[in-house]
Amino acid sequence: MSEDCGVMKPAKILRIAFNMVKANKLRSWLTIIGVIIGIASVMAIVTTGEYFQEQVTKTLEELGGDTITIVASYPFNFEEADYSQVEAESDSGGESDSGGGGENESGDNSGDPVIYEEEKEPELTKKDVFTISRISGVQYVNVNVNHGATLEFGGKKTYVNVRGVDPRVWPDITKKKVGEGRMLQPGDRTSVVISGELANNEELGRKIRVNQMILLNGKSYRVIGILADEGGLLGGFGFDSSIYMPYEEVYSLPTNEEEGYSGEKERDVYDSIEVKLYKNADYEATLKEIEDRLRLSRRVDEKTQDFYVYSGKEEMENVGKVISGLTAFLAFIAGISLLVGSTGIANTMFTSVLEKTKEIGIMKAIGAQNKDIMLIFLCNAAMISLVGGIIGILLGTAAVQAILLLISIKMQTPFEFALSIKGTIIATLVSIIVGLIAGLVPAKNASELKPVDALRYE
Amino acid sequence: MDNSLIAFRDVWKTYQMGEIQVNALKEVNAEFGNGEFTAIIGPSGSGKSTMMNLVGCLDVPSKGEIFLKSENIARLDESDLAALRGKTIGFIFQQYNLIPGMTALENVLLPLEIQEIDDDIAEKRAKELLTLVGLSDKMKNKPTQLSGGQQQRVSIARALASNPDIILADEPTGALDSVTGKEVMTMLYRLWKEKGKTVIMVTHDMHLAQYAQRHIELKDGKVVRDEPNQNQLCPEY
Repeated sequence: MSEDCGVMKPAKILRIAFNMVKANKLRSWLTIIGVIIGIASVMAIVTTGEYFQEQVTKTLEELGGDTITIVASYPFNFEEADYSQVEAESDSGGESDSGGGGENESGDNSGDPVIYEEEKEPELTKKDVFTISRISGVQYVNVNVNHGATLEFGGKKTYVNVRGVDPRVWPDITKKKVGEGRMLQPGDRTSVVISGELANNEELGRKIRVNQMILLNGKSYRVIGILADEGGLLGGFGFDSSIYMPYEEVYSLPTNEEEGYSGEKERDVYDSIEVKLYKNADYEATLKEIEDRLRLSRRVDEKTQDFYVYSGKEEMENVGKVISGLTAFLAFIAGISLLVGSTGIANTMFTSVLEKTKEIGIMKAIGAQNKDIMLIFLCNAAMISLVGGIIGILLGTAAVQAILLLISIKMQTPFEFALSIKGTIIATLVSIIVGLIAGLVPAKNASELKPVDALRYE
Repeated sequence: MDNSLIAFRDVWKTYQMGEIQVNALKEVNAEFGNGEFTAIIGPSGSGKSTMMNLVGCLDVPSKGEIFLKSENIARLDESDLAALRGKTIGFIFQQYNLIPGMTALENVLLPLEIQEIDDDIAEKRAKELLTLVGLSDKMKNKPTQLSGGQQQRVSIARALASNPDIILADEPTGALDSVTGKEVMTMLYRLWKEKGKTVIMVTHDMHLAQYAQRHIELKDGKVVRDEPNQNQLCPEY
């Protein structure tokens, strides 16, 4: 007997299910709207989250990214034992004569018991560069010597940050790109590369162009290159007033005591060392090796370490994790609206089953099997969720583009179309699964109705 | 009976109503022959509808056996029962029971679609049947756009769609005026007489029962009379 029992053709089932959706247009659309909101929210949040993660990563990469930076500094140590000696020295009238480092200056804080150390400020020197250069994974080593200065151009002045870099290395490791002119190169002496923003600084009255001369603390320099404006999330923040020159030149930059800027730089002492590794180098192992070798050469141990190795990659990973977590949390919130949408489907389906009870009875009386009824109601639910899903994905995509457009206007960055494949797949799968789950119980109830009871239903 | 199509053997049907058990049918024995026109009669609550549900395989007995074409329906599962119903029985209900969202043609097509009959054949047959019941010009009309008599005629066309052996009519004229009712009865009569269908009609109207060739009378769930109708009426057509 069972062999004779076929199931209705899929096309017929779809037609009947479609007629059911059509017969209750308003209710179907209200249910669909619930699904649309849920799907669009998930889509928008996942895609925007991914966009932010990508942009922040890009920006951080531009700020250094996988570059390792070494600075000479005692680590902050707030353990009481470390202060006791310093406090004692301070009480006995010993006065700090640390000329440069801001961190160790006691300055006005004579009443403040938190005074760190009174030893000579730790320094980074050629010896450190040599130590690092010998490590196998290291590709480039750049040194930085920074200085504040007054720029004079066309009779007007502005404050600038002078960044001394190694012209043999810096063009290879910097993420900055030259917009006009050229980058620094070995042999350059009184040549500088300036940021695009500084070139267009309104304070100076007119644009600084390539090959023009500028005065830094009264000394004349030629502008050989102007950097392109940066994009990315942080590109629009703040004002970059940097001037790049060979680090050797920074030592001979005149001091400008009147303006209160820091004094002359000690030759062959660097503010920081930047290290770039080979692409295939073991990042973690090399990072550790740099630290170990520097400890050996500087004759310090873990406790007395007078330098700090900063890895931008770690920072990037942490920021990435925070954004991922935030996106997941927001997607979870959006998921709740999807859940509400799905209960809407279930509600509609239950109502539909009640409404169609007699029709189910009629169909069963004329030979429809449980499977037929179940499939009709499942298709009904699937149609609602699929239509909701498709419109939701389209709307979500449009919403994401609107958000990104707003961000790009706000940040003055170029608009980029973004669509998360992951978000789209999740939204599509969820819309199908939600529709099927929400439709399953009502469809099962409908299919299990006894024909005799269903026919009697009014 | 040699040409028995349906046979009831000691059939009981018991309903649980709260804590009380109600015996709607008590030890019913009856046979319906192939090509017979039988009227099941009796007052309200006598068990007519219960008997019709069992004959139509819409329900199974609580006790006893029902054989439809030698198949014991009590042993069939819901899917098998549905398939058996679809192929063997055509239902005509008092309230027509058409699907409101479908046109007359779609309603008649539905049993054929369930049977997986080829689309072209199904449509041709449905149109023929609607023409047979005099509704060739109303095929695209939905039930709400048809009169009661027209709806019942669609219902008859639907009952005939899968060419069943048995036509099961439950108070087929109950919702119709006397003229339309007579038209419907004439149709049933002709289906029996000319097409050789087995017609089983449930009615409380003794006048309608006179069109049948046999009467089974129920009272309090029991068959109290089962005899040929000596005064069978023959409608004019």
